[in-house]
Amino acid sequence: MGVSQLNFSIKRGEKVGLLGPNGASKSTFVKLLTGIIKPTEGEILLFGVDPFENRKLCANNYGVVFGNRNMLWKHVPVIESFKLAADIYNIDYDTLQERLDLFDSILGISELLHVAPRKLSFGQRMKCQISYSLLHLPQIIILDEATIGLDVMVRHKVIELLNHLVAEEDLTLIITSHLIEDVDRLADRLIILMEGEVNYDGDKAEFMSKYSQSRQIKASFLTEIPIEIRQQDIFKQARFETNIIEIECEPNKVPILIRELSGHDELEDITISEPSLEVILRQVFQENGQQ
Amino acid sequence: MTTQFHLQQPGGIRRDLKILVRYFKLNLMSAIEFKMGIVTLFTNVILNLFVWLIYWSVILDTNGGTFGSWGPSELIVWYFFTEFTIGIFGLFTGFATIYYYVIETGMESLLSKPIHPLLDIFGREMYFVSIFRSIFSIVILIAGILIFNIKLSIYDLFLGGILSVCAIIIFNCLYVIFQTFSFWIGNVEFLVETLVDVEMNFIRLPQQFIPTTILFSVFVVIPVGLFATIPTLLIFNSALFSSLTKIGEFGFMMLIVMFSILVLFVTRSFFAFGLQRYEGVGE
Repeated sequence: MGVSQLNFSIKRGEKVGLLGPNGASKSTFVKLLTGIIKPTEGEILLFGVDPFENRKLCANNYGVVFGNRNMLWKHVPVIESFKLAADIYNIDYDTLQERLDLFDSILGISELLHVAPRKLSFGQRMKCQISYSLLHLPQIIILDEATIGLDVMVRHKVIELLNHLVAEEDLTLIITSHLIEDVDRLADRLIILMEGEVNYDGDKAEFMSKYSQSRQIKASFLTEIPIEIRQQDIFKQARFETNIIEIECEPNKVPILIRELSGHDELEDITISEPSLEVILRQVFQENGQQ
Repeated sequence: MTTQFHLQQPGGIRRDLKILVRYFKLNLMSAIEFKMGIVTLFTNVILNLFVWLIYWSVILDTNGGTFGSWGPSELIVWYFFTEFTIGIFGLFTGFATIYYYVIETGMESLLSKPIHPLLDIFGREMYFVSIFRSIFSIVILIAGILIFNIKLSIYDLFLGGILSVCAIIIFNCLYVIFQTFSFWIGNVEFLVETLVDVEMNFIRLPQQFIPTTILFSVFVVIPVGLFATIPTLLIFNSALFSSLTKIGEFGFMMLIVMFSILVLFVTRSFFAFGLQRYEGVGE
């Protein structure tokens, strides 16, 4: 799948989430942006220059993490790969140590530095891999499915590190991920790609309010759900479990539903929430005929 | 955007040399991690030497001490150049894996670094243990000099060494050129294997098996001859060498050096041209 009709710019300091279903050309866009592949038509500029023609200059100033791609030396302690990265990016050893301390304070990598990557778990290896890619504190951080396969704890730490770096060092972030939750926690701006074209480009909050046309109500009861609730027309679309009821409705219906539910003594708890970014995206993808 | 970013320029040749030293260190560490690789190589080299000694002892015995114009001195020097150069050549095995990066694992991790991808492939895929083969060949040469009283000057070794280096450059450039075709035609594994087989068979042929002019032409066109046979000829039969080339041994060496540099630039440009067709590999 190729990209076409892409026309946007990203300013310094922005945190951009690049989203789209499989085959939307997210990774192709990342490869174009990083100068790995050359566009057959059109123009792409990174730092104001053609990234393919100025690959070394651009690569010296961005840091990219590809999920499932290993850049560490498999059979030697991780610290040796970091020393290589220090040579590649002209980082002196004092600075290298400072940065390793910074990464260690959030990701806890100090104990992993003296172990060969082949002896590390996937999560441990990715912690090191991400630190390796960000060692030169690149002005633009690009993550292409970088958190895929990581458990919740590691993902949490990685996101904490990225948020810290972006805030403290005034870096720019571009993230593509199938894990919408990660994008939600990192990005302020969303670019939605569909079949190689931009479907949405704008503020994340605006996107949420534009597409968030429903509310979710979840109520739990101390006993089984009263039969009179099940029989009411207003709850016809609800999902029932033994003592839980879940309803998705338009925002203006919320007061009525709350009134109906709270009239029962057996009601234990009730929560009202907006759909998550993931739910909204699923709707957007489905509306556009994507699986 | 340009005005807002303060770009750091990537390092130059000095940085590349520093990276090269780091690659050697990393590969040495990897080799030490798996000591059996070193033991296996030594066993292989010693067994090969043993077979080689028996083979040539029999041939020399049945031919009155020489074969063609070559005696033990020529054969030992020939052996040295062959093994020494193959040992160094082993460091460049990464270039045989370019097609694999292009069609299987992807060049993304190479191209997202501010260094030349060929330098990175060379460093990452080096068969470092091979260097012990070169070291062993020096030991054999010294033993040969002491036993057979071989007359070798520093100039001889310099000329031979330069030709070997040129051979390594030309041979690896051929590799890279063949591998670069993978940007157009995908899997070139068998194409490259064929090249290796043909060249490696040539490298083991002493001049006596092929008429000299044919051998000479073929070995310069197919640069494996520069590995060992041409340097040996140059050292022990410079008169023949001068009559064939008409430009003398030093002139010939300079010609080969210039040719190697030319091939190097052509290869680099061809690889850069191929890289424009890279389409990426999905995870």
